[in-house]
Amino acid sequence: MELVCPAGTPASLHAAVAAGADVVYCGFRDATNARNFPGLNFSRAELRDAVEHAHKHGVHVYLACNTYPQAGAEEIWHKAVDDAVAIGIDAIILADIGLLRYARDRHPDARLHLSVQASASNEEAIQFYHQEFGVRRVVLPRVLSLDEIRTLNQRIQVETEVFAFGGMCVMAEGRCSLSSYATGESPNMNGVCSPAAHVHYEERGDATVSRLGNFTINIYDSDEKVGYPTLCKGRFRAMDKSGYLFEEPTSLDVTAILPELADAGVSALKIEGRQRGKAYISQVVGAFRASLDKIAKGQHDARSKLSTLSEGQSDTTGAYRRNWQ
Amino acid sequence: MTESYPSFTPFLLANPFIRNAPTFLVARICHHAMATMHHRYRPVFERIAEQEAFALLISPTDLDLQFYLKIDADHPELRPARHGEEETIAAQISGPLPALLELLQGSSDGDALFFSRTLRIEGRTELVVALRNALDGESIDLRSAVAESFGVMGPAAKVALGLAEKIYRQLQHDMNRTADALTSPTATRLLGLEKRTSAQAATMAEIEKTIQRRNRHTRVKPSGTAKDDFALPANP
Repeated sequence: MELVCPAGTPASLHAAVAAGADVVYCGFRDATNARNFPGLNFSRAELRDAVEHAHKHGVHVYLACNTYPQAGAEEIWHKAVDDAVAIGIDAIILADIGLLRYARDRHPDARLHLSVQASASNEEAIQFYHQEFGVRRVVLPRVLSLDEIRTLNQRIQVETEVFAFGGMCVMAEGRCSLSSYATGESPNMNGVCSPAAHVHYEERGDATVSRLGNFTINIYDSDEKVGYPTLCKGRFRAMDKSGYLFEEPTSLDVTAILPELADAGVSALKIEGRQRGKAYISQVVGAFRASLDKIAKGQHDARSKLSTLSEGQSDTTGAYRRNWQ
Repeated sequence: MTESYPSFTPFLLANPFIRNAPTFLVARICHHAMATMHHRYRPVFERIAEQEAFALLISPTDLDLQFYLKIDADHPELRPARHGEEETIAAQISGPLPALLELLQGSSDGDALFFSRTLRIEGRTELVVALRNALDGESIDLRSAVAESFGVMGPAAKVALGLAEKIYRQLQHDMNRTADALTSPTATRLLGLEKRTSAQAATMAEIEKTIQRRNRHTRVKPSGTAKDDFALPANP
């Protein structure tokens, strides 16, 4: 399985290459990708240098251009696709069908991958993207079990990439409006879920209060670990009980089920976290590289040492095993 | 802005010296450190120049000293913070000095430090995020920066720094052992209390279930009289 790793800065890309990534994915410094955070991402010149560095080390670079073009501003997205091809990117990760058509028509030789933001989770949807736009790989939404992935891989002609580590989502990828409702900015079109300008933390005695816009997301006691300030990971009160109504602040970690994912026919493992620092990249990529190398030798260590890097300092195998059912 | 509890690091031992150090000397060291950073890591300041100039309050939770950090592409500033300038501060970052230095060098992940609550942030989050990303985009090497700032005495400074780091690590080890020795009786007692509380909570849950079961069996059916606003009309 190919190890696809995140990079939000040139330094992170260097860290990912050094730690053993097969592929590094990144985005331009604008709304064309789903991690449009202040100070993050690549200028055209930085990406050109980054691609040169990665290729020199035998590592591929993918560009995430996976938000939905805003009406009347499509040129920004078109230019991102054109520039990515000119720079020599190895694949472009897209979600919008208009943009997929643009890429197919203008750059018929470009390798196109379908972003998780497209939320294609069944055979018909994936075949449609493959037949209409020549998509060669699909990043599967985090809603499928191992058995479902295995069945899907037996029926489709394209490669599948699954999330292996990092932040979880409420499994409505590309369709979620929670952040947009609270802040007016959408992860799907502006590339920001819970934009930092709308996030506020307050230390209240020993407790930490997190807010998004006018919504209190959580009040963490002194002994509790903190999660991202997204509404889906908020703790709310309903019917006299307070708790995580959507999902708990926890990270995905598939270290324990890597052989099963390989057996299910998965082509690539994606590590989430372009917004994370290079220390995270080095440790997570290094750990997964070691695990994959062991599996290649017929060995497997199911224990993960990455919990300190996880959101809420806890991890899950998510929908792959569906332990909650 | 909030005051945090002190962190148990060897920097606590430096506080008597810091408290009594002449203000101009501390200000001079800060100024020199910032000038070195600005000269050596110019791209950090260029990257962050996309934002307007802003000031942060850096609060090491193991030092009796807070720093005023002004981020400006051309004229950045680092100095001891003064009372009464809270109004000019866009955000406050609090945490143990070793963690703050690791963050500066990119050897620790900012989100992980935040998840574990080692690091706390208040104020304009987007500016802190922008600074973190700009710093992380560079390969900052504090040891080399310090050595360079000593000019021809650089190699000697590097040796002295190596020795200081060794002493620091030994001190941290000793302080951790001391902390364990001091807290272990309380920790053992707490563990016992936790077990008893868990057992009592389990008993309470069982009692609650039993009461609910009994209530279900003994519940009186609604009478369905005209006085009952929610009663269905009687069958004709």
